Amino acid sequence: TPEELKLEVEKETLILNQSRKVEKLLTLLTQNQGQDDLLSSNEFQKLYQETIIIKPELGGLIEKYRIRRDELLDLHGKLKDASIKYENLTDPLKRQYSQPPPTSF
Amino acid sequence: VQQPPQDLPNYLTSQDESNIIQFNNKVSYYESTPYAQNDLNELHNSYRQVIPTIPKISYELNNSINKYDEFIDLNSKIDTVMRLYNKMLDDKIEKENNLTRAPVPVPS
Repeated sequence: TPEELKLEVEKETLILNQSRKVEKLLTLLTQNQGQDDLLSSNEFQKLYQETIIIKPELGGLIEKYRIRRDELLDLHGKLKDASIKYENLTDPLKRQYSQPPPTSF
Repeated sequence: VQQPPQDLPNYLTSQDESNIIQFNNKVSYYESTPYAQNDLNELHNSYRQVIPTIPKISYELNNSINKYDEFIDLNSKIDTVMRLYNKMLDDKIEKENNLTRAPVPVPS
């Protein structure tokens, strides 16, 4: 239903909004390699926990969109083929050339 | 920060998908049944139903590909975060082990 779809989109937006935290963590980790102080920081640990907790849900979303993308490509292919065939069937000029010539007795 | 869309007019409904499959089946039927081609009204009606779905498929396909890429990118960044975090932990443990194993200086 549209309501369910809207809820799903909201959930996905929440997940994508975590990307700022991930970017922040990446910066902190790359700039502080070799320094132990970062691991003792409560703020850093909280940020890390909040980020990795979304990983299972993220895996589910990747699979969902992979399947949906494939379904839509299939549907698009079916519609394209059917539209070409429809044109061939309904266009008088194309019909004239696609039909076998009448047999004469 | 991304905002969720206010309305979703461009998403395909299950009815839209069903209309496309029916149109595809009908075209195949008419194509393989020459005598049915004398009356194409049903096929025309079916075609009229699928016309509005053409931009919807394009929109949703584009949206699905973009979302898939965004989630893959985010997942890959989280993997890097986890790898760097684990490396930092390993380095810390190794450093602590080396300290405890440091040889006691022998008095001369």
